[in-house]
Amino acid sequence: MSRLFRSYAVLLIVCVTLNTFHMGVASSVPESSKYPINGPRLDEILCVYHATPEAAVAAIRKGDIDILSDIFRPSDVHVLSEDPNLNITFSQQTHYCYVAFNTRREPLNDKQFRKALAHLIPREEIASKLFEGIVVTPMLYETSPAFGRWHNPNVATYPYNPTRARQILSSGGYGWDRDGKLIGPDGKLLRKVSFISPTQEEAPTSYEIAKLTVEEMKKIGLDVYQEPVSFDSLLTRVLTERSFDIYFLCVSNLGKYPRWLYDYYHSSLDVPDGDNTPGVRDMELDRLLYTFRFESETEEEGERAVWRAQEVIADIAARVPVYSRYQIEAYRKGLEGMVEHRGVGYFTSGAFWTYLNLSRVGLPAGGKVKVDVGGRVRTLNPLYGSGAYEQKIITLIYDSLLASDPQTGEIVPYLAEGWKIQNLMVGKSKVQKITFKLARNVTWHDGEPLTSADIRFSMEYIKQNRVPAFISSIERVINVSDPDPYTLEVTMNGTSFFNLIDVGGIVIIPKHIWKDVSDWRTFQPDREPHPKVKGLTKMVGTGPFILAEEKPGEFWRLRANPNYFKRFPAVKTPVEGVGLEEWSLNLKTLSLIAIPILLVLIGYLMLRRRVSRRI
Amino acid sequence: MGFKAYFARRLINTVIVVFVTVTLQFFIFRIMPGNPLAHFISPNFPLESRRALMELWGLDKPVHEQFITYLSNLFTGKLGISFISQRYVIDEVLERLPNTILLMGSSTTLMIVLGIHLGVLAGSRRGSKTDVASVTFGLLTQGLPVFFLGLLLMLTFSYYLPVVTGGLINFPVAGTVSRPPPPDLPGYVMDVLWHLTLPMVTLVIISFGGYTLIVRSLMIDVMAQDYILTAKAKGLPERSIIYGHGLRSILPPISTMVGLSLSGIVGGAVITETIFSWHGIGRYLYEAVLQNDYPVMQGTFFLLSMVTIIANLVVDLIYGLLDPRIRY
Repeated sequence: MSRLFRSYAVLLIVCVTLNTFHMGVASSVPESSKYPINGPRLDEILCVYHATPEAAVAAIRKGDIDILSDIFRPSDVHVLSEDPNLNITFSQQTHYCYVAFNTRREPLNDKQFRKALAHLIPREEIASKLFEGIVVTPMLYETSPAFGRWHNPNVATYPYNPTRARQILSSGGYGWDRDGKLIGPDGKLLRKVSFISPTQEEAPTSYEIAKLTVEEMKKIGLDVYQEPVSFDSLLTRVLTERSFDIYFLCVSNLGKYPRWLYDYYHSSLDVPDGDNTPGVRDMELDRLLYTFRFESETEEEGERAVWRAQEVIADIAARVPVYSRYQIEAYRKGLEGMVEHRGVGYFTSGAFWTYLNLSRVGLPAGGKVKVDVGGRVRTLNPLYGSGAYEQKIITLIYDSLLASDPQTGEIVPYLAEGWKIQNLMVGKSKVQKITFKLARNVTWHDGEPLTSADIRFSMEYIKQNRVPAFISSIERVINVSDPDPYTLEVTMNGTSFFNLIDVGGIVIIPKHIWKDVSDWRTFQPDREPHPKVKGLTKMVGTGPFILAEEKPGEFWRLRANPNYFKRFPAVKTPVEGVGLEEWSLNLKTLSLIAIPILLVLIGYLMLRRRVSRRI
Repeated sequence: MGFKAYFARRLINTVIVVFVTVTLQFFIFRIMPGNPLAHFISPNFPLESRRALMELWGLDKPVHEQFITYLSNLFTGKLGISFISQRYVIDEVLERLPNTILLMGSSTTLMIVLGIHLGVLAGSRRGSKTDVASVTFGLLTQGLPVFFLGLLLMLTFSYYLPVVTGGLINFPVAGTVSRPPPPDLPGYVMDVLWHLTLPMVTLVIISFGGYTLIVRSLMIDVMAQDYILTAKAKGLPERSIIYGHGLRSILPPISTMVGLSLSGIVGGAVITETIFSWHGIGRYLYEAVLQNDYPVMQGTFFLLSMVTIIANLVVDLIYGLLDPRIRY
């Protein structure tokens, strides 16, 4: 037996030594490219999955991958920033964590009381103590500066200030008894208040943040206690049952526009499973948010409404921002052409322009990169895969009618070269007719031309099937027509500037593939072969990359679309070598020769042992 | 009672256990706090989208209708549609099952062989260096947290040693194959084995100690029996006494342990699969629990419970073969 183990060990050593180690590439200084961009430049993007941050960090340091996003542990940031082969970037993102108060319950239904509590959140201490001052930034605004023009900096803020908190309480009629406990304006002791947080095991930092804040609240005499519950319980109590006093939670990927403000504060969303969890009901705020979301015909008009809405929201103090996490990304030196996307970062989901423009230093076209996909890719069905990780792949395969400037967020032409908007009256209703002119040189990955019939089909398909990910974008569409193959007319309810953004952002699917799909939910286009083109799947888009190979749960190989309508002017260069890997393969093949030899050797030794025993 | 009557009775018991298990699996997940919708708290999913999802998942229907749908899904073999991926659970399970069987099958086999071998050695040579070393090592490794050992091995063999040795020793950081894998079949097989090594070693190190300690204890009892003394008096070779007389008589309890570990072969190892990014059932189940993906939890637990129930049945039936004293 022990001999067998020794043999296995020898075999392992042989296998191990026959594999090579790939270290980094030459370094360069990153440089933003000018916009608009033609691409893709790369020949291939290999998206790979690592289940733990330890594996992902080891992989990029080792050279197994070139790009890693969503780095959130201070220890990883330290290690990666000290690695001479890596560059590391910090970007503000549209993410925030907040403390929310249940405005339906006493004493939290008193605005003055909430404002006082808002001054008790030790943001700086949280950022420095729990995140070592590098992973997050303390946040005072509901709509962070990452929202550009939509961010109103002139709103009431609640920096940490216990003295100010006491002053607010005193002026609001609150007092303290001999033991220092808070007494309400009615002269009675305030009731015990609970602060729900995730458990220490499930979310240690959230637990600590709640603990620190609760301690501060206790210092001013509030009878408050921390109630750690499982994350699921927290969500159910907050989102569905509304059975809470105070809670702490984070949200990310808030998008380019502060549209969530409507969901978070409009009184119509104060219903079970609605996002207005604190129960805000304010008529002026309702009007402003409705104007912003559905009635503003121009961005300027929307901006005015949402700026005023932010002032009201800050004054209500139903949610108090605590911090926002940076998007921290690392990439191996030797890459250039990455583009910073406001509120998103350089490489993560939504950083479309980066992957169109990315190239190896000294190699304007060609080459390949390996990217950590970030998390579990659940499905590549473009109508269902709405998570950030699958979107990282899907957005490189499918295009939309419109795109947006990565810095300003301004809408720019894409599959639609141009558009015309007409505001009309139908009876007593305001409607908007948007006429899109499509680019004429766009083809699907299988060579079929893209026409307005495909776009009409996509919109009607989403509406008919009530596709959850897009239903809110398409529900105001009244009619779609395609008078000619390159013209599309969409009539929508209302005259909001979001109409264009909504229909311009939906995923466009090929009619010739999807018209035969029996059940859109279970359709897995990446796992079904294309009916006509060998080597392709039904994952057919018009995007810059084609799905060439996948092993679900492991990797997804995307090959540049040679017929892309915005293809980078062809510079014929060979695909960057994967020499070390090829060499590894050869060595692995060689190791196959070693195995039979070893097996024969083992057999010989065992036989000899048996023979000698008989003797 | 004859074998046929015994078999029939055990079969009826098994059917009852299956029905109770299936029913419990449905209701337990619905009693658990939280609902799948809560994971779409993201503002990108407004209320109308969440409601559309509830309809899509069938969660807007009464519980008794959901239960009937669940039963029909189980017994039509599809096991339902995952909320998260919208794929049939059986397809997702079958995609991962070979990886899990490879990892758990190889590690369980090695663990059993190594555990029994060391246990027998230690038990038959009580007080010797082999005994002390086996017990100490077995206790030590059994007490190690699997995440600690897994990360230690991964960082040592996949990161630090490759750096120190210039790539001479270089195990993969993640996955069941290289990304992309070698195009040729032999290369592919070698590549899978290369990726298998660290997670397999982790599981073996963590688990073999349990077998060693139990087998050692059983062997100590057996080696004190009269028939062993008789065998020694007859002058039988030590090897024959230990394996032919000692080990054989402790096979029934060992077979129970082996039978119970069969469900683990299908169920996977959550932490090890996660550390090594192994695309297996354990991680699948873990993610499903985190996201309240009822169809996946129900379908996977159904498969696991079926394997356990059947393994128990089989173990019960083969007891008689292993131990001639047992009569039905």
